[in-house]
Amino acid sequence: MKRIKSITVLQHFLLIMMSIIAIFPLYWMIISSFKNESEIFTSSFIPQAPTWQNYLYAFAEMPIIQMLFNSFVVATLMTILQLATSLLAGYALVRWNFKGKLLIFTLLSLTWLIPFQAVMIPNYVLINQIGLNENPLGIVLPFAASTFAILSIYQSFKSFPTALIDAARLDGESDLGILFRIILPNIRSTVVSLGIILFINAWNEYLWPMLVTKEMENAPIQIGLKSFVNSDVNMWGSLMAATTISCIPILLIYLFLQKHIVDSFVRFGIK
Amino acid sequence: MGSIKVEQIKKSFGQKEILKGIDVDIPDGSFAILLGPSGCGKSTLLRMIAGLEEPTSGSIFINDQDITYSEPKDRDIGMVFQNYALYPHMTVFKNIEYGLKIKKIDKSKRLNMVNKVIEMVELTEHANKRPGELSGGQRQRVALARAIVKRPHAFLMDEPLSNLDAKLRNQMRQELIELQKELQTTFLYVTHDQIEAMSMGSYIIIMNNGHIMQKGTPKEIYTNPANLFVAQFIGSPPTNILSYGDYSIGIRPENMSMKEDGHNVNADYILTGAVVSTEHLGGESIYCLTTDWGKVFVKGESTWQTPNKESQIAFSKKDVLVFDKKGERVRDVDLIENLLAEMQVSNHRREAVVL
Amino acid sequence: MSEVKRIIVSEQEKKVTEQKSRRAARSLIKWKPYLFLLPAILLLGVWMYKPLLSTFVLAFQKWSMVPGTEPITVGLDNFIRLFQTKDFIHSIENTIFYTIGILPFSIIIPMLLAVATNGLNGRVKNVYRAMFFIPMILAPVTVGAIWRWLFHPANGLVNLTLQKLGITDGNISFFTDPVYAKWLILFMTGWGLIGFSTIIFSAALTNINRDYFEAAALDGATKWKQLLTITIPLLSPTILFMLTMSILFSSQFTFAYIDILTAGGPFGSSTNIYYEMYKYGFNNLNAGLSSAAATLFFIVFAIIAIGLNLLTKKFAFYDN
Repeated sequence: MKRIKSITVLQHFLLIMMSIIAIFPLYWMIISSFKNESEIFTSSFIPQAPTWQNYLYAFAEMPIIQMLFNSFVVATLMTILQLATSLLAGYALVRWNFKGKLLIFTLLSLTWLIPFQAVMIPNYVLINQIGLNENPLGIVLPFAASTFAILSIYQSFKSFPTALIDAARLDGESDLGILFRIILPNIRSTVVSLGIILFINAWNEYLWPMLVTKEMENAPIQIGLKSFVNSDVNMWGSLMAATTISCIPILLIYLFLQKHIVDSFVRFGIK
Repeated sequence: MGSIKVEQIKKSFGQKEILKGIDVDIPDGSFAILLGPSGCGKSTLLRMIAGLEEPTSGSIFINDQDITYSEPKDRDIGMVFQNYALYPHMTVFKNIEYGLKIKKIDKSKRLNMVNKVIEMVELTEHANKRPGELSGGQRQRVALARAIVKRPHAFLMDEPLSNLDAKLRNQMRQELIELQKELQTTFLYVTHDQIEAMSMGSYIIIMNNGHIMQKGTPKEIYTNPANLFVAQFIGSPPTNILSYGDYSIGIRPENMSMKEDGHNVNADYILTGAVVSTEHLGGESIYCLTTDWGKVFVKGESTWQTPNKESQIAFSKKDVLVFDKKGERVRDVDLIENLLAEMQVSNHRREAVVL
Repeated sequence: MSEVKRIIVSEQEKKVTEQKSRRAARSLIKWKPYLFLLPAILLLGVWMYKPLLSTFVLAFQKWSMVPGTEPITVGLDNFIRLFQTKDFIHSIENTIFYTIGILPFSIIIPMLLAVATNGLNGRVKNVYRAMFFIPMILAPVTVGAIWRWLFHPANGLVNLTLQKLGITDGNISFFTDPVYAKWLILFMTGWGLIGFSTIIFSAALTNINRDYFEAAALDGATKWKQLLTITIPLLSPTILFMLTMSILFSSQFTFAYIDILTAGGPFGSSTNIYYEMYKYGFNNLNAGLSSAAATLFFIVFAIIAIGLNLLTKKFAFYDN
């Protein structure tokens, strides 16, 4: 009995240490954003005289609202397109046997191996040629189909009972009908989880948006933040305020759908 | 109004040939059974008749209409799946209604049709439940109702009772037989269970390895098996097979009797063996004996007595089935006579069989 | 009576024409799978495979990406120049450093943590999981900004604390020091991965049948022995999965931190191969050099991936 207890204490100690390590930087970001100019350079763990000053400065320095809006448009669009293309592709892969299926599947899986840095130059040239630079569409288009999403959807479709699809065919349902009225309602939570992961990834994306947008007004929030970090002004309070703002949507989603998100990351792996 | 005809159907998956030229002609209104061991191709054949799979070659007719390549929905068939395949996210009512809705049958008519069928399968009080809340037997009924509501030319059933427990299965068998009589529609029923086939079917098609082994009424199949496979597949315990040279001699356990039973008045042959085990089933018993020809099962009336260790088994000539090297039935009376005479001689030498 | 007959005949005619249109529809059905796959294939073709081929071609050309100019074929020049560039050699060393250095964070520590905390009940476990996960969902820029502030040379919490505790007496410029910079980037990347990996290993561990451990305990196996003979072999699919992920993605994970915190410096001491590609392309406007590096490393990573795939097939034990 005693031994079991000591193991449990050790377990919790380890877990609490890990948790502190995981969330402390986030905590430090938030309290720094509320510290005033004199306090910011001290190591106090709770702001003595909390202030909104840093936030006001951050809003004055960058078009934060516009950038958040850009991020939102880009992330939403990207998520919808990735879900749409992967639902259609996943359906085709489980529903039919056709010539070249293995080849297509292999080609889809192999894109996993192509790092973005290996295709960024030709893509950058192409986006500029078709004039989609400085445009949310230019950010979204190269990511409109995601191998990660396709393979995840394919995995969950594969475990869907084929007899249900057969039954729907006998009922006279069309293929799109089977996909959206029979399969989707039954794997809704999986698709929602995948959608959340895709949204978070899209929100956090920064290399490609940085190449496509030069003007702050057209850029997602990550780009604004990056230039703020690199601007070398000693405005750490404001920087932390801007960083906090950029995290809020993600943290809100996480707060409400935490279990969903963790489960689906465990299921789908990482991108 | 629902005959099913299959002509020279072949099907391959890649290199593997699953069906090797199947011909079937199921008359309208019959309760037909596709029977065979798992992997024999029976489900594939059923799926092709349903339109869920395309044959590699050959044609399929329903009501003399060539429907080989038409869509499942255009075939006027109802299907019941092994795992019921009910839509988990819809209520019982919606499950049954779904096909009609897609057919764009107008609402009042639709409701009427669905309610009538729900009443027929006695699920009225469960109409608003989801499949997950129902028992196995109830789900089975929903699956039936979903097929019935379309008033199809024919019903296709893919091992629909295999997920039920033994008692419920017996009950559902009776219900299906009654349902078929009531609807007067062709049923094509796939199973691997020979007892199910014999008790329900009016026409049985036995398949093995992508070939049809025999077609006929249960009586024909039981009393007059066309080949060794059918003889062994139908009946429990399976037909005893005594090998003799190039031939196999089959006698059903129920056509043999222990000599001391006194039921062997007409016996033409007697075989000596030692009883290894006895299984009392109540009304009857199964005895297992070792003989010079191998292990033999005998099914007879229960005497509730442990038979003598050394026993004699009697059987008559009319019950002897002879098969050639390929497993085909030998019907040449002279050849059978000769064979048995020869066996008798050789047995005499072993002093085991006495005429 | 004749009326009925006529209806039957016209019904039959209708069915015959239906039959014909069905035959026609059948050829359309053959196209359906491709139709459903078209958006995905088209997009991946245009934005992944085509540019990958362009990169292979660009590797043998010289081009500054200036609109109106054309690439000039230069043969193997780019590859030769790559190996004469000091930063490139640095970047290879560092890529190996990051790839190996990440393994304790993605495999060893998480696996031990998962084993140590196995058997914790549902609710408490979920709370910990929720916290472990946070680094994973934060944007690289966010993480970069926070760490830059934590390790600020004059006023960062780390320097303040070190001095307060008397461990150091001067400010340390972590990100401009060739020794600290790459270790810090490694730690940041590890910090982002460690919680996630622990959760993955925990999930894999709860799927292992308890019977194995009980059987082993009855056989008198010690905890340590159980770890070596049961836990690790049964976790082998997860270990190989995380190994593959670490090797293929660690350079991409570190990319963001390198860009935000050190820009590869000082003196190329913290750069990695992907960051060099980015630098050659968008800082030096040398598309050829960048593409040569990309081509080279695409091949290297492809070989590693194939090897790991074979390894997974050969060595992963599955619990049925």
